Amino acid sequence: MAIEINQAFIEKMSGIMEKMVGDSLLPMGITVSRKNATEHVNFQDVVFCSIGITGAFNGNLSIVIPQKTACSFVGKMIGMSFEQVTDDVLDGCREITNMVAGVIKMEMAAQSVDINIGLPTSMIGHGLRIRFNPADKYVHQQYTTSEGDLEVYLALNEQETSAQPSAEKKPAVAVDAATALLNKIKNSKNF
Amino acid sequence: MKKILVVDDSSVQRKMIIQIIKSAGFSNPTLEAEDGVKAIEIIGNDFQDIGLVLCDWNMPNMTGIEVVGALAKIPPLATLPVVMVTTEGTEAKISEAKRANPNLAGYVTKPFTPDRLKETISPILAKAN
Repeated sequence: MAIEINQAFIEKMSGIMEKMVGDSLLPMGITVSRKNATEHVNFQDVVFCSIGITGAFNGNLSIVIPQKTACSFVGKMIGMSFEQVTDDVLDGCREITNMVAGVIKMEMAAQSVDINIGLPTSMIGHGLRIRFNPADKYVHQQYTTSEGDLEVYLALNEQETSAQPSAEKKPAVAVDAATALLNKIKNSKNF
Repeated sequence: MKKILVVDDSSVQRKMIIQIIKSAGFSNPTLEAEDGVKAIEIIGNDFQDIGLVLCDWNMPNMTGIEVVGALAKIPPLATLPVVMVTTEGTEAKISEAKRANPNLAGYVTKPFTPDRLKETISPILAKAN
């Protein structure tokens, strides 16, 4: 099964930034390709966020934002000014990544492809490098905004997995644990 | 005036939601929880003063669906108004949340506009206050 990355999908991704920070995200270049195992890209002074994708397909979404741009984005989101990358800036960038992943999930669902997304992680550094998995299909998008440029890498392994998403099973056990915790509080408070 | 509990593992998202609540003119005190475990503790200890819970889905330790599912099983808490605020916007996930808690008061998909959140919470808070 091949995943279709269509124009509607790209436009929806562009719309996220507008809602998040009131800025428009102008697509500069979009490529869909396979990479060979020796290819990689280097980044300088960026915030790098990534989120795992599992389910019918495996992969990950990475967003690379220059540190100065990240400070501007998150500053706009919460009405503050950041001179350097703080925990709040990283948190805000992870949240942007989370929302882009959410859009991907919804678009996949529209194509009857059921995926789960994980929790986003982030890192900062001066020499970060992405090395590509040749088995994956990559969608690389570059955007420009009034606050600076950013890049989105979506890696998808189109080899279908036999494992089904475990979302239906896991909550039942955990809901019991949450209920037990609530009951414990309830009993101690006598409500 | 009833309190509003904002449950999200993102501190930035919690701040954004609280800013929207304040800018909409609601002066309800707000509480924050960074995951489901903390939310359950706050709700268990303070539920009589809480008028609305805004709850993310994907969080570490205990997810939002686990929180709303647990609330639905405890009679005094089953009618506590809960609005899911999450990136999980597929019909399947919305149905799953409603199955977990039939009294779910609303569902807002991220990213959302301030107006979208305001129109969801306004009638709930008007009733609670």
